[in-house]
Amino acid sequence: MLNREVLIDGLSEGEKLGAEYVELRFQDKYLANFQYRDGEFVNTTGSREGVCVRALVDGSWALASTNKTEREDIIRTVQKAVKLARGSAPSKEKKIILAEVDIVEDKVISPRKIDLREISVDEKIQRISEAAKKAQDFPLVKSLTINYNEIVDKRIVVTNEGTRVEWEDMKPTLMAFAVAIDEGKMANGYVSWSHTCGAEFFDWHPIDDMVEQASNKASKLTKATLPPAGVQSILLDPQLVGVLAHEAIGHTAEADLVVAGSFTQGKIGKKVCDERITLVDVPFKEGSKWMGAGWLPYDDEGVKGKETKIVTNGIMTEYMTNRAFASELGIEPSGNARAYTFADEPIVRMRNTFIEPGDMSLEELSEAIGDGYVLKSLMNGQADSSSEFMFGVVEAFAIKNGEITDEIFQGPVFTGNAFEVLSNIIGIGKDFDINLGSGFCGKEQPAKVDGGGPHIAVKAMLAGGN
Amino acid sequence: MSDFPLYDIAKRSIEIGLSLGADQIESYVIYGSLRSVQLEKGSIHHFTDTSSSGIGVRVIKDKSIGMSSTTVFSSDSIEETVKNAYSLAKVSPPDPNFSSLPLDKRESPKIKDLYDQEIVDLSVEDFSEMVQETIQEAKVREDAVIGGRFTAGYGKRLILNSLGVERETSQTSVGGYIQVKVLDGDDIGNSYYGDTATQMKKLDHIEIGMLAGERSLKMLGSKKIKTTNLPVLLDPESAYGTISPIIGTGIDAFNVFNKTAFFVDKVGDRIATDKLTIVDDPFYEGGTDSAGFDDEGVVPKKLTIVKNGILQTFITDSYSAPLVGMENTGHASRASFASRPTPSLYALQIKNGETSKDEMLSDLKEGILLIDSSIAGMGDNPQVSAQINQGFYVKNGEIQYPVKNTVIGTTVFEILENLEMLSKEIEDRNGHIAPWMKLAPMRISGGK
Repeated sequence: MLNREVLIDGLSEGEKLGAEYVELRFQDKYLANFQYRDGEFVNTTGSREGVCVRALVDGSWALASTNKTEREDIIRTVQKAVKLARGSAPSKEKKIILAEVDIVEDKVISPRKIDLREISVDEKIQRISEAAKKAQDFPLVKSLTINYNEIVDKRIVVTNEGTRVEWEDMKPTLMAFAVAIDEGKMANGYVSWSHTCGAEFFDWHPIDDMVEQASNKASKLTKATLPPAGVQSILLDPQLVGVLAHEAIGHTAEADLVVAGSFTQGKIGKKVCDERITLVDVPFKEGSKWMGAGWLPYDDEGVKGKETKIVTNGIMTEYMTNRAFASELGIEPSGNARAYTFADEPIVRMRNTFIEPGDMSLEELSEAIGDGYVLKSLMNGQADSSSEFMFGVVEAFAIKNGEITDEIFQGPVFTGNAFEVLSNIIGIGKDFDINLGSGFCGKEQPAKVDGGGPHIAVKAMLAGGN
Repeated sequence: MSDFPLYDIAKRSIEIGLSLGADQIESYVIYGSLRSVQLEKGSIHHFTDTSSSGIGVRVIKDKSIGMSSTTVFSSDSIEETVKNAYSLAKVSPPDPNFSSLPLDKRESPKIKDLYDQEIVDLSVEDFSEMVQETIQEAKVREDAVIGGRFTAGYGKRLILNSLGVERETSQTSVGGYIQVKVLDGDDIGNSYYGDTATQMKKLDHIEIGMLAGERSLKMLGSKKIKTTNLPVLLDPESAYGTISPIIGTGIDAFNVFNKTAFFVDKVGDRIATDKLTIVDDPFYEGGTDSAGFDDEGVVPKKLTIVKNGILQTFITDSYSAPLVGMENTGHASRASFASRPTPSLYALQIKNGETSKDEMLSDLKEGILLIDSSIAGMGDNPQVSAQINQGFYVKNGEIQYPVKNTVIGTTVFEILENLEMLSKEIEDRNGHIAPWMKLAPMRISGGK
């Protein structure tokens, strides 16, 4: 672990060179990925260690990073950042001002019962090998992939304003993907989980259970057809609600995209969807069954994370932001500036994004739907800054006469405009789960995020159906 | 360029691996940096200069494979990384499908124009000026919201393995991507354009700004259309963006072996109409994806992939070639220094047809025109549900209006079977070559 004093020396160098603001971030990220596919393993481990320097000179930003962590390397990188910022200042039309924040000094370790590193690599690989055998119970399953990913991330952020924060988080991710083939018809089954936790993860989500679930889904789906295309009454499971909250709404409320003209620009204080909808992004959620994979007590500008109420009772209320956009928009920094590795710049990202529960039971929701479909789990998808989205769903079940049946359908494509969909609410469940699956968001650089909510019944479009 | 003795580091990692007891070991080193300029609201927001360096080690012990990587180039770190990879190989089950790391000592062809000192030496002032000029071009209206990013990078790639492969090359790239948004009340015109080159002189930054701006105006006035079946006309960017991932995923020998490729057992069979002929060219001068050797150090060949609709070959690397009974075509590619290589295409050249693009449009009685908006699927799923990012409704050969909330539902097979016509004009974007392409009617799902 790097000596923090070396970073402090870097701050002094930046100030000496005339920077108004200097920030150094040391990061040591351990990554492990064990991937099983049909008997073969691809196993990797890795370390991403280095220092990122950001300097503000004459209202102009620059960032430089180095994978060398000796004192002279860090000083050189500070000099480079200051030079870049100063060099680009004349071409800058508008000076960058950082919103004021509390100066903090803190050290945080993410919640865990058993350190992931207490279970050897050997044992993890053994567990995956053993679990894979479960697929043999499903004769239609022709291919099985299990992917286990582990991140242990240590960071130190220091600023010339006086902030000194250190934190370490631990985030395992597990995914099981089965392909079944029956009489030439192929179907996929997919299950994934990720939390901020330790090795207790494997007790919550035994690998063989996940293999069984994925295999079972794929096998059943070989006999399934697509539901009819068109506008339908739909019950979304918490994962799809989380995906809608994150992909189709959340991104449009990230300050950088707001400033670039996303759907939510100019919408603060205005009604954007049904008044039963409250949608938030939080650094962590106390009291939920497990800690979301987006756990982030401080962001990469050293700002303490706060809850961002994006939509409150159907009214657009807050954006997620970093310090520069907070100043530009006249709002409070929310602790959403995040970078994946030391070589990445902190950009506005979500953490744990979800819709607050309502008051209806699953039975009441089904009854309110009458005839329709319950959609479960995300397979793939895309959304844009105007809130238009298209999500491929893993599976669907028919709802008939107000009851969820066992009649299974292939996952259709769920599409539309997220704010329109959330304006056509039939009902909101009182249940809650946080589960965005593997929890990787890919806006320019990866980030561990999470999302969820209750079951929500809506009127929406199913495309790609029969 | 580098103050690290990169060759010595790679060589040392091989020696450490062998001394630990590895049967084979490979060291893959990337050393470089990427400078970028981020734009926001029509002006330069900030500069970055970031490291893209790292070393990845692959160790084989008793047919078991372990990989480890690091960004720290110190002796201690390299030693620890090799030890981690070796330990991982020791605890991993043997991979019966693994044959050997490659041995290729053929001379690697020298490809012209892959490195440009002008990009390495690009000053902050010149970089700023180029970006400012682009912004001016993109500013089609005073209220246009302009964003984007320009990058300039260089990298050295070094590959050594214990069988004697030793390769080293350097490459540069410069590129820009501009997004422009214009608003007329609630009407949003949103568009983009980007390009990348290996030579400073080949990047037309003025064109990037101009096209992004012009296209944003054309996207105003979008309408929903009814769900129906319509022919689809793809511009060269859409055509390349559609065909390249279908072919790349469909003929990847690793996917073929796992029976998840689109074209398993299809070599020698028809996979498209006879209009389609595709060549993969690793040696295109100044090509952004050109390389004299692949990511395992194997020298590739210029390959005909599809000839008159008949599939000619799969693409392989050292791992997958024996599995499909083929020679190694030198298509190993890594997403990063930490990744295991898998087969991947270089740059496709899709052969042109005989009709002019203007005729193709004027003969379209009713259809959808796609501009830089591909209809590829996701991964190895042959089902395609592609949201149209930039599409126009065409009636009697005339563009009527941009479409919104529109999805094309099809399969990768149907796309190739529906290929009716190719234009005689082609577009060559630094080795990515494609004509205009017309597809027979397919399912277009409109909005509500």
